[in-house]
Amino acid sequence: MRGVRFSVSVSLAFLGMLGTQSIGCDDGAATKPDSIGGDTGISIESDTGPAPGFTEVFSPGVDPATAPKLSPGAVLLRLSLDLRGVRPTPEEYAAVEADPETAIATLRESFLKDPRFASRARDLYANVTRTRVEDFPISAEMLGVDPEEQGQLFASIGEEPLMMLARIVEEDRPLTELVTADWTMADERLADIFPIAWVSSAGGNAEGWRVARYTDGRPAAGWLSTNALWWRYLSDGVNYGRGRANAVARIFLCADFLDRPVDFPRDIDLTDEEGIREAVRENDGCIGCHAGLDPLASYLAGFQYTDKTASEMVRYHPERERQWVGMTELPPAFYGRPGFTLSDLGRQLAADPRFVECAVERGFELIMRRAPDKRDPLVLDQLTRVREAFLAGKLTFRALVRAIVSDPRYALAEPAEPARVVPPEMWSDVLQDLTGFRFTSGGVDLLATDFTGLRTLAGGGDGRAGADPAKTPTATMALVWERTAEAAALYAVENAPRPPDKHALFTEVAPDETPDGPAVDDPAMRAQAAFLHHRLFGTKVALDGLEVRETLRLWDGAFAVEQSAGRAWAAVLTALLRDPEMAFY
Amino acid sequence: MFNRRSFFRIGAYGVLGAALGAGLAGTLPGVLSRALAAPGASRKRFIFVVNQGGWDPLNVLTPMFGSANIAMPVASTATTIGGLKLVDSAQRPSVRTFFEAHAARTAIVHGVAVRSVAHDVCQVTMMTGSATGGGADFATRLAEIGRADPLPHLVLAGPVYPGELAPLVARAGATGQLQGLVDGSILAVSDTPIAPLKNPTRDKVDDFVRRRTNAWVDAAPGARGDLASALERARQLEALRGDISFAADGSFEAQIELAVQALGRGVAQCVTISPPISWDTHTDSDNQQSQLWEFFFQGMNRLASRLATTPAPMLAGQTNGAMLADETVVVILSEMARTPQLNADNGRDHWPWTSVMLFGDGITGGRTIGGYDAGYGGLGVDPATGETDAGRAAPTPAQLGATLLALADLDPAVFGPSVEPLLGVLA
Repeated sequence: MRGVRFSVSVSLAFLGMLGTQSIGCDDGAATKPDSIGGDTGISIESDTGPAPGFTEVFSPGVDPATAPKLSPGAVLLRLSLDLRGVRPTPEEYAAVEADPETAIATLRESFLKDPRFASRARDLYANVTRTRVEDFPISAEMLGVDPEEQGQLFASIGEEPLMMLARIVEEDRPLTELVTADWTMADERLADIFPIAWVSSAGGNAEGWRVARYTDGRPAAGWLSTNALWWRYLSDGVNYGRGRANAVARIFLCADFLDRPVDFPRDIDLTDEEGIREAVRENDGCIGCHAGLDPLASYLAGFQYTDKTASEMVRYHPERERQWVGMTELPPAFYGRPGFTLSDLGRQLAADPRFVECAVERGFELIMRRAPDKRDPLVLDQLTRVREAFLAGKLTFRALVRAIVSDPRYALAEPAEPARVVPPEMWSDVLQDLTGFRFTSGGVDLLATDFTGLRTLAGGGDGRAGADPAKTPTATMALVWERTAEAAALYAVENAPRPPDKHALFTEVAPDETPDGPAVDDPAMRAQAAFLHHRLFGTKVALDGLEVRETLRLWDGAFAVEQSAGRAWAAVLTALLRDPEMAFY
Repeated sequence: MFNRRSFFRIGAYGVLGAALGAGLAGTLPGVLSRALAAPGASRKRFIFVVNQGGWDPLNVLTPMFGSANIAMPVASTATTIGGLKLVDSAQRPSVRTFFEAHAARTAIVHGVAVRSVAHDVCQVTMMTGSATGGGADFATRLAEIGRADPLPHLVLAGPVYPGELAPLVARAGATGQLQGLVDGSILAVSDTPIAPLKNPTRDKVDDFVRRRTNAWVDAAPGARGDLASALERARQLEALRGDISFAADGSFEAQIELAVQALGRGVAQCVTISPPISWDTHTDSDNQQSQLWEFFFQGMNRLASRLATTPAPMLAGQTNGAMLADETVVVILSEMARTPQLNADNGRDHWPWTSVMLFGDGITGGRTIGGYDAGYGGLGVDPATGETDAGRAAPTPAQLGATLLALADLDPAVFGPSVEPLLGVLA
């Protein structure tokens, strides 16, 4: 075939388009972008530069043996937030102070077994599935649900795969169950709209989710069998599921077809369906991608919808499994290995070495908040250690994370490891753990939603646009911290538990107790201020030290304005919750 | 106007208001230094109008009449206004109104190769130049020249990919949440009734936080300066609470008004807006698109009018009578176009070449760059001249980004050495 080609390095060209039309791309591994041109005799310079925003400069990596290290207390804080989503207790700080090495090892293991560990896994993987969105392609009304409850319904839908992950994490099941499980998770909202049956009558987890199975004949393939995933990654029929297939490759293999350079044959008539069909099968510029992608897409034919109605979308369509014949025209296969059903695809994914490699690298990125620099031999060594531990640990998420957070690199201080900013989901949990307050409106956590909430303003990822969570603070994040800190502080003063409850914030004075003179002169007030510093930051400050004096000076100033001891303490607590040590770790 | 006195300790790359106050402008990166060294000098501002869903330029921008492969919308005719070849229709009077008034300041880039037909892929490509992201979107990059502003890139609607420049970006929220954060009214929506602290108390809290933050930044300068910058910007926003309202009902009209206010008051350097409509018309496409284009150009006429009548903000309190229209570039795009043929439902599906429209300061008016072949594929373009060139590739989103950076006197090479700006667009 003759024609003019140009090369693009930024996108997988038309992975399916226009009815049966599709487009060409080339196998990036085999393509030297400036050497293309095929038999046309025309060679067009390609974009050979680095991806926008990146500079191809590699400097030697950080050697954990010589880099600055966090203090034991800071390591404890990092572990506690990463693994439980809450700050350490005074008792935990005390244990680390007494015997740092032993206590950190013990507490690390304890945190890994904490019930909140699974919740943290969900939050981390939400940026992988990108299912926490608020615009699924079907309305609550179409699903027979009160439109007023659409927000909660969509939240449940987006959580389906993440709750499956939570069960896998909690029960130390191998991560391969993400693609092989013959069950799903559902709450009552999903049970009302999805064709599922409870696996048992058991009570479900703390959030009311229970194990269930689809009853519409869909093959068992973990996330691949969920409505949530395919409602998020919709195929509108014109690309025959190729976008979905790319999502499969990205999510489970960290292999994004869109990373590949692309040759696009310009001589294809894109208005000619037959011509495009032929090009996809025979044109050198097309085959590289489509030979891999199209058979993956063929596995997903049972999730093709004829329209966006409830009856169409809630059900799997076994009768359409062979409709790939008229779509991609290639039978289901996984990078050359044939299969028949989604279950086959799940098993093939689970057996692919890239599944483990991807889990390891993704785990590193999610926990360390940056992609591993695989040009750095020390990082490669670390990834190898993590992979071996993951394999030895029978592919459990706990084993994976344990290996990452036990590595010396995890405990490095600035500038070797920049301080991490607290993401909105964690901030919500931290506030609730410390004060009992969660910023809800209409029962919805405003830090977990976008349409009316504050998730992206607070630095959260944008599931719809695919934008990652913020790694650095922004003005709106600062405003969110400011407002939520004040709300939480006011709530705590009114509602916080009192001693002997271990969550008590006011252990030395009652918050409504007014001292006779300046607060700084009152021993009990000084003790209370010191306790707040210890509870929030894990630092022991002197009763006559600067921190206590400054804190109580704020108390006195606030009391003069508010004429209320409780509200003066709320001002103090607001200020401490807004401390940089609360937002970074 | 807000007080630019620095409240939080910031670095040279932090909020530039502080740098100016300290006489540090000379130490700033080139373009920033130039922009800020001369009080009263204007800085180019940008409004990005993102049309989500994939518009159909055949209705307005691409008069491809006479091609057997292209089914032009009915009741449409070719026309030329101010040197721009367009599609005219009595059903879309606002289109003609716009071009009759603004064609002399408007350029159209045709045949932009977005190289995919998946909405999310096309969207990130069109806005960042890369299908897999990895860098900030164009608007955020351009916002770097407004680092001194409280909200260098204000996003009122639509997607944003801030990348490593996240500190420059602020979303207003789909329902105006930013206003609730700025004035504290967000607390009123809490399920638990909250009686907020009094403002004098809040001031004392702010002062306490400032001192703690500055000490924290001093303990490890560098990246920690981002927090100081964020807090400083937050404080500047709070100072604006009686001056500008970020409350928006999501309507296009409200977005336009807020965008103009934000630029006019020097709050933002770039604003992204997005009409609350879906261009994804797989059925009855021509009829729907016609209405969408009319609605859209009603908004564009309004935007152009407001830019022309709103004074531009000046540094150091100086004025020279310039209006926002004299300093603002409006970038109008959609992530993809639609097929040249109708499908069985009289709809049009996704198409990987599209057109982009630019109007405003620094744009070569009445100019069309690029074009389409008989199969509606993008034609190659010589970046230097803007003329079509069969030996070159069709324009790319990365080239669009490079062009905009060049327009703003920023370095377009961030997109790679082989990505050439479309200089023919620039006046």
